[in-house]
Amino acid sequence: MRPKLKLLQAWRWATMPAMAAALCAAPPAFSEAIQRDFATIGNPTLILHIHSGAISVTGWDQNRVDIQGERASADGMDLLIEGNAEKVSIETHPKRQNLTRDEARVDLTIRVPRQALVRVESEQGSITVEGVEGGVTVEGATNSVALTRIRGHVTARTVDGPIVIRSSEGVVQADSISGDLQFVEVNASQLTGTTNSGAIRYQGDFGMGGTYKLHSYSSPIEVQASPRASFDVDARSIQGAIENRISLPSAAPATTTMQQRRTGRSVQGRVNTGKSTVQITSYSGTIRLSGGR
Amino acid sequence: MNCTEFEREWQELDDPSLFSPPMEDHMRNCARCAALVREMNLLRWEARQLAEQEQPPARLWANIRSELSREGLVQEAGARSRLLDALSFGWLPRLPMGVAYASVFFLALVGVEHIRDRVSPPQAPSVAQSPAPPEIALEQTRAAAEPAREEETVIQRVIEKAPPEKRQIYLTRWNQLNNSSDVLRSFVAAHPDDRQAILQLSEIQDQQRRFLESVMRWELEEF
Repeated sequence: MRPKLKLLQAWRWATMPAMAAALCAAPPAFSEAIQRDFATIGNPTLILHIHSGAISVTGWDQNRVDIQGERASADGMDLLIEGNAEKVSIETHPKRQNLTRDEARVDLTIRVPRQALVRVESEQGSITVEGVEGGVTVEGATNSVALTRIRGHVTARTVDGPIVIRSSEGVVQADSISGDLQFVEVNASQLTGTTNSGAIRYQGDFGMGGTYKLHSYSSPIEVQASPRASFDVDARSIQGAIENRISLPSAAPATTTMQQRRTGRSVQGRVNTGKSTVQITSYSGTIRLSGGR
Repeated sequence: MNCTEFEREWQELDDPSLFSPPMEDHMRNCARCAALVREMNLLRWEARQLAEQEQPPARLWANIRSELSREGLVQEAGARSRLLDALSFGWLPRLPMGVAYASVFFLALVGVEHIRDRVSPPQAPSVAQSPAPPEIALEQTRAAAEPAREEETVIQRVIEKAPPEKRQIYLTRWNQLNNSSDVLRSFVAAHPDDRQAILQLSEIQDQQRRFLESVMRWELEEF
């Protein structure tokens, strides 16, 4: 019995410094729950100006803006939420310099009337917007941006982060310096996707009889047209290659026949009846075309 | 949206950087308004830098005062002239910071309006601003083929002031855009009739401008 007790005491003394160190190293988290609700008109404006964190905005069929979330550190970040029937704004500002990414984090899950106009500015973290029809503008630095079922004007811009737009319609503008752009089932009266070194991928119908422009400087552009897609295509890579797997039997009105230069850097032609116009250009990236009929 | 409507909406914004989608559209198609916004962002950023700067050393004002006194342009202490009072800027620190900012903004606004009126004739308000036709866009791109030295200087200064963790990202991406722009500019110089290459150069220059605007705004708003 006695040796056992001694062993226990020794173990207790041995573990005590370790426990004290652990307590000092990891002080209790001062995270704070956020919960606000505003009665609004049917098409209010939501403005988010967030330093860092996961942001999710979803359209719903109620004239209310509902805000739920968590602020990782009340000591680190100021949080300002203001609202009235027409406009709700949320801003975060660092209280001091040299905050860690986690200290600066404010996660938000927001529901807005479907016709709301949403504008998000953030520097780090994920941004998702879904089911909004009043227009969406997202501007980020290293954020990943995902926009789903959006209608109206859509503008998304990042420095490094990827942008994914799915099942959306309207006037779409996506722009990143090194982030990838992905368009899945996006039908636009006007769509522009521009990157410098991020890959661009379009999968879908090229619907609405719109004009689609995809530009990259050095990165690949991949187009996977659905069988019902109808468009005139003009693709050119100045220094890169083109890998075309789309059958282009008929020429677009402005061109002669499918032109494939000897260097394989240019393709023009018509798919189905050529309802939409697709212009793809890259300086040194590879352009890959596939799908269609 | 035409230029007049754009300016009216811009003035009504609580935050001058929060453009509505129609305003964004207009800026994409109107070089004049886009330039105006850039100019204003730059002035806001400059104003902030100005506010952060220390006052000039007292000896500078003392030297100016003694020089003016020697020239007989001002009277010595005890009967300070208005000119000297104005030059001493002693009133500036006494003003609340908000009023100082407002003064800088007002002066800047007057300056921008003055420059704009001199550079371009006033536009008829009822005429909608239409996207520049390709030929004009080509001409504009050709005209902008020389590197924008002023923008280069501005972005370097903004990047230098940015926090260290962001400085590297900004610098890398700015250099990346510059390199791309240089390569395309060389290509266009060798192939001046290549419309697609010229338009692609135009895209990169637009990206440079957007990047400059974003970085200035982020640093202005202390992101």
